[in-house]
Amino acid sequence: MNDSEQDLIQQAARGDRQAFGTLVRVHQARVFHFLRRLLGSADEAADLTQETFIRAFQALPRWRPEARLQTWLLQIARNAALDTLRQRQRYVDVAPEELAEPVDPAPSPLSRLQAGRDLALLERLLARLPHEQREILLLREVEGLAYDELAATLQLAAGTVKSRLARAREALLHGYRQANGGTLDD
Amino acid sequence: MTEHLDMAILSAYLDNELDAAAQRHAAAHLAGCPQCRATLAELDGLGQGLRALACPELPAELQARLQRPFAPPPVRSWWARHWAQGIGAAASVLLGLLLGYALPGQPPGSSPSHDLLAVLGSTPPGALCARPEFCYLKVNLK
Repeated sequence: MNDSEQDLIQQAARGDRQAFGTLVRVHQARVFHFLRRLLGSADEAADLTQETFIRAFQALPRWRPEARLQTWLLQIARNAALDTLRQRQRYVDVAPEELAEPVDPAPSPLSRLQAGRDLALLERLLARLPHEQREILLLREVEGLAYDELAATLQLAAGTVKSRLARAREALLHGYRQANGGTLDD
Repeated sequence: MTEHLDMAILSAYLDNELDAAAQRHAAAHLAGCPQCRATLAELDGLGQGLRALACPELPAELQARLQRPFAPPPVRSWWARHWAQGIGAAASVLLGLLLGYALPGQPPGSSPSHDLLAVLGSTPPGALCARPEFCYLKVNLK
C-alpha cells in the first residue's frame, strides 16, 4: 500500500466521502470482476460491488492497517456474495464428469488465438468449479493473496488452505485436460 | 521411482509453501521424475493463465453508480437553504393577522352589576361575612 492510499484511507476514516470515492475508483474493477466470477452474474456483481464499498466505508474506522485494503475489500465482497448465495440457494456444484465439453484438441498455429481461447476456456472451467474451489483459486491466482491472507479471508486453518487449494487446482487441471484431450498446451 | 508427488505437495511446492525439508525432498523427486515435472508445469501454466484473466475497466454507467454514494453534497444557494424557513415565517405572520381579525372585539363598557360586585370585596369593610369560618366550607387538606 502506498502513502497516498494510506492518506486517502485516513481521510475516508474521518468521514471524507470524496477520499473514499478515489479509493473506490482504484479498487472497483478488481472487486467487481472477483464477484462476477464468483457469482457468475454481472448484474449481481454490480449490486454487490456497490454494497461492498458502502459496507467498507461504514466499517473503515475499524479497519486495521496490518491488512491490505484490497484483501479487506475482497473479504467484505466475499461475505456479501455468501449472503446472496445463501439467500438464493444458488449453490450449484457441478460434478467433474459434467465439466466442459471437449474442444478441438488440435494445436493452433496462432499462439495469440490459442492464448485467447485458453483464457476463455479457463473462465468457463472456473465457473464450473464448486464454489469453495472457485473462490480459493480466484483469491490465490487472480488476486494474489498469500496463504495467511487466504486463511484470514476464508476463515480457514492454514492446513485447510493448502488442501483446498490443491483440490481446486486438481479439479481445474482435470477439466483442462479433458477439454484439450490430453495435457495442457504450453 | 514409482511414488509420485501428490497434488497437495505439488501445489504447495509451486507456492513455495513447503517447509525446508519437504521442499528439498520434492525438488529431489522432481529432478528425477518427468511425469511430476510435467504436472507441475501444467499447474504453473494454469496459474499463469488465471493471472492473465482480464480485469477490464468498468462501464462508465457502473462507475458513476459506484461513485454516487461518495459524491460530495451539492452546494446550495442561500435562497435554496432558507426558502423553507422564509415561507414558514411568512405563513405564521399571515395566520396571526387572520386570527386577530377574526376575534370578536372588547365589550363597549362594564355592566352596572359588575360595579356593584366590586364594592363587595373579599376583605373588610367590603366583606359581608364577619365570621369566615361559617361562610366558607372547611376542607381538610392533608
